Amino acid sequence: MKRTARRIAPRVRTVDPLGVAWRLLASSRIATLLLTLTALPVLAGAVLPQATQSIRADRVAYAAWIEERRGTLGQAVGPLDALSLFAVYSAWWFRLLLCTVALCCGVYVASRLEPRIRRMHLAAPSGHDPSMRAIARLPSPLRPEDVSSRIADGLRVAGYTTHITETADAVHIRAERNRRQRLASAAAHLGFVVLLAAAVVGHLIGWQELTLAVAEGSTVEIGHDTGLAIRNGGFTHTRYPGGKVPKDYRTEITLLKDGQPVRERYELRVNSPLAYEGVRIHQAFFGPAAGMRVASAEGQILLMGGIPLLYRDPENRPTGRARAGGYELEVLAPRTDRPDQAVPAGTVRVRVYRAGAESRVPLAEMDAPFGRPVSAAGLTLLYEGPRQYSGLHVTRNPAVGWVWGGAVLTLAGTLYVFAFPYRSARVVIYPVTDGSQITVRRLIGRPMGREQETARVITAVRTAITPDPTRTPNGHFVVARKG
Amino acid sequence: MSSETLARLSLYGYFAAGATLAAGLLLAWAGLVGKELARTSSQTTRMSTLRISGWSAIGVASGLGWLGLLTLTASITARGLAAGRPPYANQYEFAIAFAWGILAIYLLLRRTCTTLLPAVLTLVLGMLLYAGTLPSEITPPVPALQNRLILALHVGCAVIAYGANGVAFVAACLFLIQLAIRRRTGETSRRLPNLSALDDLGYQAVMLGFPTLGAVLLLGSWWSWVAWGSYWSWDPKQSATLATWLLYGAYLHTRTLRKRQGLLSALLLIAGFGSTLLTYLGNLFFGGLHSYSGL
Repeated sequence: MKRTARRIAPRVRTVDPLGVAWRLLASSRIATLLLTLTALPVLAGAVLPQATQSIRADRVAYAAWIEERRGTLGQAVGPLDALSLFAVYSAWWFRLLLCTVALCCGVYVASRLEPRIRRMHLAAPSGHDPSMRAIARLPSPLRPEDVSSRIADGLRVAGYTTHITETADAVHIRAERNRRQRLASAAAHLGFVVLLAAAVVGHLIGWQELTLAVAEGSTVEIGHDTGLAIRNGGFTHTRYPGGKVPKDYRTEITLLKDGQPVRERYELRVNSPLAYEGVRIHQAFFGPAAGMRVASAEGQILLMGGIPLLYRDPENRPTGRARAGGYELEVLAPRTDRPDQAVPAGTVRVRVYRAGAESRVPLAEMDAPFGRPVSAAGLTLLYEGPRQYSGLHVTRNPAVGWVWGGAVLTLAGTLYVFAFPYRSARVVIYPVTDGSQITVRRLIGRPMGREQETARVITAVRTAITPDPTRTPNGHFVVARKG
Repeated sequence: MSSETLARLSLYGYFAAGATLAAGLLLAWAGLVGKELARTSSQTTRMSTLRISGWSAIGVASGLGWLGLLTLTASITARGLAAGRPPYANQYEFAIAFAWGILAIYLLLRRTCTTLLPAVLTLVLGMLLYAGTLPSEITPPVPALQNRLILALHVGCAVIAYGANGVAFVAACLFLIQLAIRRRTGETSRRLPNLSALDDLGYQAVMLGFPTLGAVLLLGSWWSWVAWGSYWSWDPKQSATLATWLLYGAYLHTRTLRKRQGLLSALLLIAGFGSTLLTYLGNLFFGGLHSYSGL
């Protein structure tokens, strides 16, 4: 036997880095990995205590906070802190992870919507494709060009759109059903990108005040160049019988714009916020306040209303701070858990500081009894008795509509994908001496229900090629002539 | 009818449902064991199922499952009428609703896997027993929970999502058992549904659970926006729900892999249900916006 040696030229393989990166970002394998990797720190953040932004901003406060955690977490605190697991959601690596998820979604959407990119991403695999193996072989006495139109008609009746192409050796029918499912899948991913982008934009251009406390009778400016101020006209709260569970709490507020009321006596409640020019005011919490009137030596009123007692001093006294002209007042109310020797009932202790001064040594410190004016540091102070403050959340987020839009798009897209699964079948018709040989290729699409769908396709093909007395051999209907 | 009477009826319904489902569970196990005994003692296939007055034990157990679902529905309805609000505002009420969700979703999808009933009933009864350890008095809702429409939709979706996740978990566990049997013996067990049926059931359950869990997140964010002006605050329960949703999202992506990894899918379903349980039980230690467990 004579052997001939053929020299095969080495195949030059070019690597397209962009194409590789694109395929990686759009791949299900990477998506699975990324989603799992994102879920884990999110879960860790839910389980582990998270330091607030104000604690993280103060190094000393953060160190003290970490030290407190040692009581419950012991030696694990060090490694957990090193991994930023006490501030997961602001860790750079977590943000990078979210950005990569968004990027993957974006690449997926682009590869679904842009035909050229789609071709690159969905390039036909080389070699044998096991998913396209034959699931049925049917003979037909008709010629391929005749039987193909019949099969296409049959598949159309079964809900498929068909596309026929002819090659030298066969006729190919590509049939698809629920093609919009791919668009819906892209929409679901696009919604997620929109949602994340809107969250970032809202964070950058919006703002929120989460501890705006307004004592009864006081007016507090919102700031943020809004020109808005809130006046607390009165706060009421009720409890269910037994006295433990709050039933309702509400504040009667007046909203002022540049000093002029724009909403008067609005009843602000939880679940019933006040919205004005994109600014939303929410009833969030409440607590005690000290009613105070402060006047200068010239008789000018510097502070009128109340000072919210938002904090506790080391001895558990309700404490609050407020500015009055060029001064800062610190008010301490008596302890509520047991009799207070230092601050007797019916009085408040007031410390007066120079506003903005670094020194925390008070200019004056005195007890102000209820209803009796006292003077110190050139100020006249009158304690008007205990009051309540109303804690408000004030927010402005111009991008929130996009957040809802993105979320709804994700949800609607997902529902469509589940309700209308994509199916694709391929039928190849080969010419043989006595007609045609029809091969039905395996269905592509969601595995669940594929068997039933496969049976449906085969039945449609079988019915289409079964000789029908009402049709001519080339598939046209027989028209009966009269006479 | 007074609210006390309705609350008592709700409690009776809870006990009745528990007893019915326990009987169903015993029968279902007896049916499976009987089937196996008949098979191994070379009886004919006609004798291969334990029968009670001509009815198969699994069939009767299935009927008891439906009866338990009806009783549980009546109990939850009575509770809602007694409380004057949607009946899932604390840990006890949600535990019962959770059990209802698992049972309802399973019975909705059961056509493919009837022999899954014992495992599902075990999970349902476990949840009902847990409810029995919790304080059952009706607590009035705090102001934030007084938005009945959003409460009904938000927590109602959570009931369906958690129930679906529970069914997917059972399917995934049995899938792994079946897979282990096949690897050891070379063939799958006839006592259990086949791998494909279990895989399909898990997927069907996630098809219900994933969008409804997404709706839970959306409605919860909307509620938070209405009540406090912040749609996302990394509240522990909110974060745990997001983590659960992401895990099921990862699972759905495994389904589109060319070489679908059944093992990986099943493990993700189990991790997803672990996260679901953590989200639910987290009320006991999370704090935050959802600290109203009633404990």
